[in-house]
Amino acid sequence: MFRAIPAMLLFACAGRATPEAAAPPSADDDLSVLVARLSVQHPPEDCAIVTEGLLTPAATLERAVIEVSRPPWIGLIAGRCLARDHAVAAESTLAAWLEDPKMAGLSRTLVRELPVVADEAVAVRLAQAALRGPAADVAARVVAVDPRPAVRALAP
Amino acid sequence: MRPIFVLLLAACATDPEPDGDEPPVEESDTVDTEPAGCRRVPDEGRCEDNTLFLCIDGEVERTECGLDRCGLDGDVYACIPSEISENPEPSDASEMLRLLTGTGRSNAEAGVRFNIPVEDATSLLFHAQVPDGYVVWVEKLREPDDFSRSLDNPLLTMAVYPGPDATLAWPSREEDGPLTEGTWAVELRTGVLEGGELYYAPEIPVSVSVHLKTDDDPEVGQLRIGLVYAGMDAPAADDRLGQFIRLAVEGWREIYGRHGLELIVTEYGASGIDSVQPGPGGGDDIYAQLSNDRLFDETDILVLMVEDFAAGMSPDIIGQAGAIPGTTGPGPRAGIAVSWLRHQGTDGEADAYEVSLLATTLAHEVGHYAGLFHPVEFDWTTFDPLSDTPTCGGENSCLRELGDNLMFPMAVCMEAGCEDDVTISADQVGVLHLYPGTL
Repeated sequence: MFRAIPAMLLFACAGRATPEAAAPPSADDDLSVLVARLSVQHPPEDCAIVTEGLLTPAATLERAVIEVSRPPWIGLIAGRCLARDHAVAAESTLAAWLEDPKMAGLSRTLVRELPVVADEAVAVRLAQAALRGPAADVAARVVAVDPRPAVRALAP
Repeated sequence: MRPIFVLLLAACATDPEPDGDEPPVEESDTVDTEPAGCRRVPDEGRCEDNTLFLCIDGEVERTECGLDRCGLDGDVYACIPSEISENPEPSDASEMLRLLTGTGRSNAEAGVRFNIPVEDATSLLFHAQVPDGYVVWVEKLREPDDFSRSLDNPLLTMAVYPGPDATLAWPSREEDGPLTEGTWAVELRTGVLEGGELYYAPEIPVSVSVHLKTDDDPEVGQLRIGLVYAGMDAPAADDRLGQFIRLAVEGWREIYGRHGLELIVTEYGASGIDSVQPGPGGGDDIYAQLSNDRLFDETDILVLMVEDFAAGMSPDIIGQAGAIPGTTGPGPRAGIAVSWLRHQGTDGEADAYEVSLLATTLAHEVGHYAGLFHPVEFDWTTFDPLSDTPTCGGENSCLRELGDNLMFPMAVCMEAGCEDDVTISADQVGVLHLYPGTL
């Protein structure tokens, strides 16, 4: 094989946002930036981009889940990023959401993040909460195949 | 083969004349034994593979066999005749469609040309696939008079970008002109991606299909949708999730119906697969599998309703079209995926606003699949090649000018009932109707 002319542009779905890094001076500005970043037809890919430049990323993600309902995916993406990157600091909040029947949609999303919660003790406690919550059926499947024995042992 | 910087093709001579022996291919009724624009190498300089043609502005150059690529420095294009034939069991899904299929192999320069006989057709959908691990892209589209159409606009078709398959619809816009009778040709390149770099890869088998559409009434059309529920059976009538999605489909139907597009939606369950899936082309073969299994008619567009998108295998998205445009046949990116959970939100329930939002997402993603790009990208300086989607200067200006357009890259629907306010420009409607999957 031989090298092609290096000008080819790889496309996934057309038009993914490239948000500018913001340096907001306040928590409200943080939230505004996050909402603008995620209010797109094809939201950004990873949590590092979602929270880039935010003054208080964990707090902003939590606020987005609680305060932002439109468009509806913002709370789910924010919750996913909170579980991925801030599970230890936000454990009690995440556990409460996992058990809350009013957070049935978010629970289904958070449960699937259990395998990437690095702290095993936190993962165990979150799994226990998930197994008591509205996404218990999904949790049972996720827990059963977790690579950590302490988590797998929770499977019903 | 050592890396070689290969120049783009020169224009080929338009009147090939045989200089030596007959080309070593088996003739058939539908195979062009001497591709338009190419001259055969004289006996004296013919390379061992016997299939090398040189096209350099009317001059036949001597070859120097013994080089590993059996050609010359400079502009070289080897035209291996590739066979396209009428499908022996033509599709009866629509009287408007003829299906051609064919196979070929890229040559030492990683190029291959397929000649497409066109008669009495208004548009064509060309789809090429290569084996796993390789990529293919369209380099040129040639009209019957050998004129090479420009595909340079980055928002005209994704077929020019390397991928596991390449889908080209032509004409894409009304301003592209009619699909004239004669032999059209699509020139492809094959390659491989390694370490983030793209390399040409020669001698790669390529399989193609071509749908030729004849449309007597281009202002009216049907889009046939195969709506597949990932991880479940098709919901019962009183199922809340099913009600949510069906109401959204009705909203989508209204959006398209205002522009002469009728949706024919058939639902299917896919309980044997996970409800969480990657998007099309996201590293899984589920779309090829579903489209190959042919749960639905050949001309149906697959819309996979997933609960969520697999983490790490696709962007955090709410919906994704496999390609722009997409193929109606089987393929690794054959379909659209939409997450129903992401439209319900944290409470897992769907209100009237969320129904409207899902309706516009479905219309937006299928709009991509039928050939529409965003009218402006997020850099606010890259615009689609349609005349009636205005240019704008900056985010605020673009929001004002295009914020209610169905294909705007930001969520257009922020209130219940918003599907009544979503706009599609006349040129965008033209693209949707020209798409060969619109019957």
